[in-house]
Amino acid sequence: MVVPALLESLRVWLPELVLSLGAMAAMLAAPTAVGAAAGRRAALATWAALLLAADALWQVQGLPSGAYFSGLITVDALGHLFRWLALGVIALVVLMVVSSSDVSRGWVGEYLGLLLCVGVGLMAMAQANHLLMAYLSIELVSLSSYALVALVRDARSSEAALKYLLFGALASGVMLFGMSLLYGMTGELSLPGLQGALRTLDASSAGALALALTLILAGLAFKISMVPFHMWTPDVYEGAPVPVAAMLSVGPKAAGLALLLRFAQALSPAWEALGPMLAVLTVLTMTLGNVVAVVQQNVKRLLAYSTIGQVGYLLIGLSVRTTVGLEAIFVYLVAYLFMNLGAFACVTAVCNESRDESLDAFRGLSRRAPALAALLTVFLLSLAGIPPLLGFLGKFLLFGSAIEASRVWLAVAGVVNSAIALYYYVNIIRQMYLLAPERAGVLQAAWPLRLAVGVCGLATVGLGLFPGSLLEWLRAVAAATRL
Amino acid sequence: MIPVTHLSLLSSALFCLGVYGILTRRNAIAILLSIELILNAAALNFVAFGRAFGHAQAQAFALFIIALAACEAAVGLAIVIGLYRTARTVWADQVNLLKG
Repeated sequence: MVVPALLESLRVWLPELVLSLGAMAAMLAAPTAVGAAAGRRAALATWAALLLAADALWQVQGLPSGAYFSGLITVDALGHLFRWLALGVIALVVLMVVSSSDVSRGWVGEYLGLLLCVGVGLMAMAQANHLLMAYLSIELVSLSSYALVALVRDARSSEAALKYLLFGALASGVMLFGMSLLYGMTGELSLPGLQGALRTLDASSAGALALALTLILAGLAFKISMVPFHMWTPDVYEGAPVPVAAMLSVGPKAAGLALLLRFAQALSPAWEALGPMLAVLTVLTMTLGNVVAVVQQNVKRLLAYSTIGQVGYLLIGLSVRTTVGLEAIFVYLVAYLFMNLGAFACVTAVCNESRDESLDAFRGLSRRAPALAALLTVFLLSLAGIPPLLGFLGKFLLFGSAIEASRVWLAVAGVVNSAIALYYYVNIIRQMYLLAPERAGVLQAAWPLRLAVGVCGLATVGLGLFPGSLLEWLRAVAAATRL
Repeated sequence: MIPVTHLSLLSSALFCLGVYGILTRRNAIAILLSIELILNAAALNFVAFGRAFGHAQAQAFALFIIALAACEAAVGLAIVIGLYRTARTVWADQVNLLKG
């Protein structure tokens, strides 16, 4: 009885299985050769794993939804969407890792292996159906990310890794304590079990329940850089290699939102008590991110604060909790994946050449690399929410969902913040087009970077102009997800 | 048999001690130790409530917490050693290159 069920579960989890094996293969392949050949072998193993995982993910699409691994994970449309997002993030970041000069050539195998581990963790986070699975997947992502940040041997990277580790371990410990309180009150560990048990919980334990939920929210808020748990974000992004910062800015944010959605759904009656607090934090998150980004001179810090601002927009969809809001979150996440990773890929190309992370490095880029400058402009305008790019569509839907749920003030806050954000995004564009270059010569990006930038640019413009089938798919996912 | 309320009081005390340690300690290793206290508070809760409910699942959860705490300590100490090699300090308030 147990073995067939386990085999069935493993079949559903074939993509995760392939990625885990790929992670081991990438780390073991590197020491079998020396120099550049080691990196090539690791990259080969990584690409094989990514392609096989994509194929497996395509195959398992038709399998019935439901709980697997004795209820530890759930397979549904929501989880499936976030598995694709995780795979997309990892694939694009791998392209950046193999060509970034921040990544020392001797460590490529470790970088790629740890990235695939993060991919498995992100997929597991999106499908967690049990408190244990939620905790394990968050820790898998966190521990691999700490190591990824720490792999560079310099003082800034070590400091970033230490800050990330201390904040992160504290956040997951606090979340774990909240989970243990929740278990003590209900006697249930699985999310569907919790949903049933919370309905029959008597009113006297409302205070303890609110405490437990707040502690759990704090742990998840850390992962998605929500105010007031955002302090680590700029320091870690500045100290980490650019591709790792790119991964941190999209992967854990998407998976953390998926997990938040699952918790909000399972703990539904009690979760509503957090509603007002969540709405206030949404506005604070976007305002703080965008206002502080205006004064940043380091491009990685700027993009870190911009990430906090973008998370604020995404949280609008979570705080309205309607099907339209859900669809808006999905559209914006897809847009955010392409435009933010595209922008980070352009930054990788510039930092590779100039070894300079300040905004000055972008001066006159339009004369030295016209195509790169044009595409970076597209990504930045999309992040700012200018039509007809994909970012505009996502923002439009998010603000629309706030108005539809008669929370006009959320939409107003979003629009005001978009105006502030336009200032610092356009400032980079001004540096690229209106100022004279600091150094001479043509900037030629490596081919993996050109591929990453091209794919992201094509998606940002193409899906922005022809969003029909994307919207159809995401609307179906939102309709299939219970609120 | 120790009543479950006593155990949950003990675990709350451990949790508060851990938070107090994180807020007051400046040595990175001492902060890591305080975080271990918080993890152990949660593990103790799972064990105590699991016994009260008669669930084996919660005991398994505690085992997972112990295993992951060990992983976290391993990665954490490696990071502290890396920090010592580059910055020659393990004091959290002396590492302040990144700000703004």
